[in-house]
Amino acid sequence: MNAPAGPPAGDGGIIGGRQPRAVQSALRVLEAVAVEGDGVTAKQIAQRLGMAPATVYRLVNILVAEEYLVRLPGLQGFALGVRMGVFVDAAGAGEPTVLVKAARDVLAGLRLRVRVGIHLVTYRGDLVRFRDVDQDFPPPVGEAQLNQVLDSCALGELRAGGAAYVHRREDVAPGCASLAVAVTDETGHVHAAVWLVGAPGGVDVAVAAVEDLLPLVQGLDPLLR
Amino acid sequence: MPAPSPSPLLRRSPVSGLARRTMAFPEVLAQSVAAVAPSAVMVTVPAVVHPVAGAWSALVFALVAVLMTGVGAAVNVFAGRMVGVSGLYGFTVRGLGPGPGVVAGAAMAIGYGGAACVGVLGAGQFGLAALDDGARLLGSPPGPLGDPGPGLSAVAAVLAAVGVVVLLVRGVRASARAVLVTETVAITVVLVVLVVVAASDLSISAGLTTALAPGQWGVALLLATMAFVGFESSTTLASESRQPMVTVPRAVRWTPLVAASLYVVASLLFGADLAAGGTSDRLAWSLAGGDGAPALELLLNLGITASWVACALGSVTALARIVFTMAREGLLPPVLGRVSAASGTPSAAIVLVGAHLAVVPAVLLLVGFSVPALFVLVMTMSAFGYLLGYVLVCLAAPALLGRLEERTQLGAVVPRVVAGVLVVIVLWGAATGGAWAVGGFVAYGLVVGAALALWRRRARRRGLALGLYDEPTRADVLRPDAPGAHRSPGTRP
Repeated sequence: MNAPAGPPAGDGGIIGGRQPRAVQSALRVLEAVAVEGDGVTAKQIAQRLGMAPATVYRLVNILVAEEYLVRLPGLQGFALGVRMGVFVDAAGAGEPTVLVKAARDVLAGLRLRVRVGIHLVTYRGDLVRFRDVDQDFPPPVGEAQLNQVLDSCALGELRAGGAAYVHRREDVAPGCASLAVAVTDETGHVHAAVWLVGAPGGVDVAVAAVEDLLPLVQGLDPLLR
Repeated sequence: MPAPSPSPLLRRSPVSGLARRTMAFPEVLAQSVAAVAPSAVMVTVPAVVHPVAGAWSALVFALVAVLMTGVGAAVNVFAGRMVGVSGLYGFTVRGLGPGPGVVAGAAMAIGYGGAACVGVLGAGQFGLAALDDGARLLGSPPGPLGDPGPGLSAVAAVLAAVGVVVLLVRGVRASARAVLVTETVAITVVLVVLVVVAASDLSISAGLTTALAPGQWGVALLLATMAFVGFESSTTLASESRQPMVTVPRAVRWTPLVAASLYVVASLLFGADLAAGGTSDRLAWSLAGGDGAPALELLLNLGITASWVACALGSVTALARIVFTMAREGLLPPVLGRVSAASGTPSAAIVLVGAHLAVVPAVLLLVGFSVPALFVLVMTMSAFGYLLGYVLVCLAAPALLGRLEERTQLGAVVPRVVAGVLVVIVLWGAATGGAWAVGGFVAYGLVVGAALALWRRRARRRGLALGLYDEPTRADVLRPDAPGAHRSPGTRP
C-alpha cells in the first residue's frame, strides 16, 4: 500500500460551501460499491443512488486516485481498493475470530503434533492479520508489532512468493525460531499462512516433518475463502 | 472497435521491473516541463513568431495555451482512469483500437524522437556558443567555436547524446531531479537576461528570425502550437509515479499554463527590442551594444544549453517507455522490454534510442544539412508527430467515455472541437509552409505506414494484444477472489 495522501492542497481546515454534500456523496458511492459488489459501473452507481452521473464520474475518479476504489481491468467496473481494508479490519478487531469448524480441526490437529505456538494468519494488502491464535503458546509479538517488522521476518518473505515455507533460526524476538508455511490459492497467490513459532528445538521438530505438514496446511485453502 | 474484455486480476504487474510508484509530484512535473523545454523555446519560437504576429504574439500564445488545455483534458480522461506506461500510444489503443493506436504510437515516437534530436542539436550549438563566449571573455581571438562547421557541430551533438543516455540509465529519479534543477535555473537565467536587455540599451540579435516572412500566419500559429508540445509526456511515467492518477493529471494541467505564462512574458519583453536588433540565421543569440554583453550572453547560452539537455532527457525518457511497452506487447523484439535491475529503468530501450540520437543528427550534419535547416526540419516533423497524437487522443477520449458509459455532454463535444482546431492549424501551416511540408508528409507517411505494417504482420502471426498498462493486480483489490472482480463490466449477475 502506498503512503496515505495528506489532506488536499488549499484545505484551510474548514468544511464549507458544498463540501459537506460532496463528502456525503463520496461515502454513498463507496457504500454503493460495497453493496453492489465488485464490477459495478459508474452508470449503475449513479442509477442506484439517483445522483447526477457527472457527479458520480468525478467522485469515482477521485476515489480511484486516492486508492479507496480500484478501476478493474477493462476500465468499466469498480471494486473496493485495498485501502478500504483498514476499515474492515477495524470493524473486526477485538471480536472472536469466526473460523469454520473444519479449519479449527486442522489447526487442532497440527497443535497436537508439534508443541510450539501455531497461529493462523491471513495476508491483507501489505498487512498480516491473526485469524487464530494458539492459546497455549501465545505469539511473541502482537499484530501491530509483527506488521512493523513484516518485511524482515519469515511471514514477510513467505508473502513475497516463490517458497512453500520459510524457516528462520531467529525471528521477530530473541530466542524465537519460526517456520511459516504458505496457504496458496489455485493461481499460486499466498493468501494465508500457518506460523509456527517457539524455541528453536521445537521448531526444528516441525521443520523435520515439514513435508507432512505441507498438505495439511494447504488443506486450509478452501476453508478460508 | 476493440472490445476490451476484462481479464482476471494478475498477480504481478505487466510492467514489473520498472521502479514503480517511486516518483513524487515535482519529479513528474519536471518530466512534462523538460519535454516542453520552455526556456529554450522562449528564446527561439517567440523570435520566429514575432515578425508575423508582432504585437499580437502574446495573445497568440495565450490562445494556444487554451487549446492545449483542451488537449490536456482529453489526455486526463485516460490519465485519471489508467496507469499508463506509454502515454498517448496506450491511450489511443484503449480509445480507438489497435490500428489508430499504432498510428498514435508511431506519431508520438516521431514527436519525442524529433524533440530529442532537436535537444542534442540545440545543446551542442548553445554549448559551443557558451564556450566561444567564455573564450572571448578570456581574451582569445575569434575561433571556430563562434561559427562551428558541420564536423564540430556533429561532435557536440554526439557528446550531448552520450551525456543524456548516461544520465538516463542511472535512474529515472536521478534524471528527473537533474532536469528539475537545470530547467529552473535555465528559466530564471532567460527571464533575468530578457529583463536586463529590455531595461538596458543592449540589443538582441536573435536566431532564426529570418525563418518566416510576414503574413505566414499558418506557420506562425503552427510554431506557437509547437512551443507547447511535450507537456503530455509525464503520462509515460505514470507507473513510476506515486499516486499516479493524482500526480500525472496535475502535471498535464499545469505545464501548459506554466509554459504559456513564460512565453507571454518573453513575447512582451523582447517584442520591442527584437525590432531594433539585427537578424541572424544562427541558432544562438548574440547580444550587442553594452559592456555587459559577453558575460550576459555566456550566462544565457549556458542556461539554454541546460534547457536543451533537459528537453533531450525528457523526450528520450518518454520515447524509451513507448519502445519498452511495444516490446512487452510483442510488437517490437522482447529484448527491448528489458529493465535494469539496479535502476529500474528500461535500459535496453534507452540505449537503442540513445544510439539513434548519437548517430542520426551527426550523420545528417556531415552530409550537408546546415544546423538551422536541420533544426527547423526536425522540429516541424516532430511537431506534426505530436499534433497527430493529440488529434487521435482527442478523438479517443469521447470514444472511451462512451464505451464506459461515463460520457457527459461537455466530454463528448470539447475534445472533438479541439481535434478539429488542431487539424485546421496543421493543414493551414502545411499549406503556407511551402516545399518542406510536402517532404515532411511523405517521410511521415513512410514511418507511420511501416509501423502499421509491422503491427499487422506481427498481430496476424501471434494474436498480439496491444494496450498494455499498469493494471491493478490482486494486491490492489480488497477482495481479489470476490466473483465480481472477474465479471464482465456492465453485465449484472
